[in-house]
Amino acid sequence: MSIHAKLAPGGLTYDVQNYDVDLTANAAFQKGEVVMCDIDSNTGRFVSCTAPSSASLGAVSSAICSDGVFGVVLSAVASGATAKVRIRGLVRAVTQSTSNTAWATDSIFIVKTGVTYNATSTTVVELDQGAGTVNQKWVARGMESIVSGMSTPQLRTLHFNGLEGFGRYGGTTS
Amino acid sequence: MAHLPVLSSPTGNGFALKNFDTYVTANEAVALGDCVQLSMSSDGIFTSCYLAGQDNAASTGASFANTLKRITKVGAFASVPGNTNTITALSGAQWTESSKTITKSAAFTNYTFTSASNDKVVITGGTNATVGIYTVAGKTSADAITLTASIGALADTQVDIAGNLGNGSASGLARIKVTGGTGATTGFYQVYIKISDDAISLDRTIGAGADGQSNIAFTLLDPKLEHGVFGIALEDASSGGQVKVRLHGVCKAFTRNTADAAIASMNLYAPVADGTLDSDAATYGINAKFVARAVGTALVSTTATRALRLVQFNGISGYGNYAGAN
Repeated sequence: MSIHAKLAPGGLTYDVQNYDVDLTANAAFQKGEVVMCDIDSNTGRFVSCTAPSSASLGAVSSAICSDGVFGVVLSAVASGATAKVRIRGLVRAVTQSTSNTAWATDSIFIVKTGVTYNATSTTVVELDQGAGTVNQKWVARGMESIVSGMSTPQLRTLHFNGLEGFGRYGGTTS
Repeated sequence: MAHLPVLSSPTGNGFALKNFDTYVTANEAVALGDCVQLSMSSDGIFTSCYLAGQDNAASTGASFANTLKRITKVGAFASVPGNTNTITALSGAQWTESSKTITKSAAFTNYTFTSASNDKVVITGGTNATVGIYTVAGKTSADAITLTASIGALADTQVDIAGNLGNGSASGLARIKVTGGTGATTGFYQVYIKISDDAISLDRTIGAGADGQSNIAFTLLDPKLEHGVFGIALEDASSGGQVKVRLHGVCKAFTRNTADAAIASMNLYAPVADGTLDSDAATYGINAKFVARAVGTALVSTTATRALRLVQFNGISGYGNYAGAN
């Protein structure tokens, strides 16, 4: 049985293990974009990937909660071709903070659709978790300190888990 | 954090959650598709299971009153959620037959009507009043509520009506499982009204033959399942027998949407107290642990019916806890 984390040779720490899959791309994607894995309705297998829908992000609607299984595209892919997608592990993903807030290691991120990156509307990893995002799935942790240019979508290093996630945003404390 | 593996397809394209199954002892009878909660032994090994939400201690020796659908046992219901803002002990109220109205000054100030399917009043006494459980039609004012049925034409204008008022959104999530007793039909029942720490009224009778009996046995169910390791029974098993349980992977499980809303692929389920996966947030409630996703084409009708449906299940790590609406 393989596991997501593995012990380092010294046995005192552990490394994050990457988990990559091949999926049929239902659209063209850039390197670092967040995609949603499409589930086969008969088998429960994930066989292709597409641009995430707003309903897949995790916020509750009409007392029903849904979320998607996400991955990060590891290299640019054309529509219909096979995409290499990282479901879990360390990855360079298109990341931003809409409010231009600096972040440090261990900051936690959600998914945001409709962001312009390289002149294309795309889905990115987003730091800001404000109104309308309660219950959204946390999919990544920051792995570096970013203190400038946060509002500009760029490739940055994250610890990503698009399957189980890292919990859900529960709102602000009063 | 270690995770169970996902599985690539033989062709190299696509992936699925790998099935991970184990055998444990069933602490009670379970059926194929039931969501079970695993029990850990003192040495840290999961060795047994019970239907999800039924880890609370069993009670025996309770009494039952059929007319009020009431189970009584001293201190047995202290943990049942009750909301003092919506449960009012009535006494000295007036009945008006023509409008089916109960009136008492300021008695309903803190009561908020939710729906006729949720809100009930238990009439416990009053001249010419027929004791029993009645449905609330609406709140007229802080002084009055109307019912959908008469408590008795001869009670018209009487001013000694007594009872309890309950609101299902406050206490309706609580359930009990009746497990025995003379004349009792075993099974799951919903708590309509918590009368006190000593008494509750149920959504329906446990059996006319149980009226007046004092040997009713029941188990209080955990109304919300926020933690624990869950699995899906892959076979029927009797109490004390071995049962194969899927902790992780794709399988069919008993699911529903209590509100009868459509279930779509990727909708998240959380376990509720009768061993069912429910996609209705109002039923599983804040902090419930998501353990499964719906798989399949949209199910647009009769989703309130408990049925076997395909899910992608992860009862160990889960998919996070429900954090509430936006």
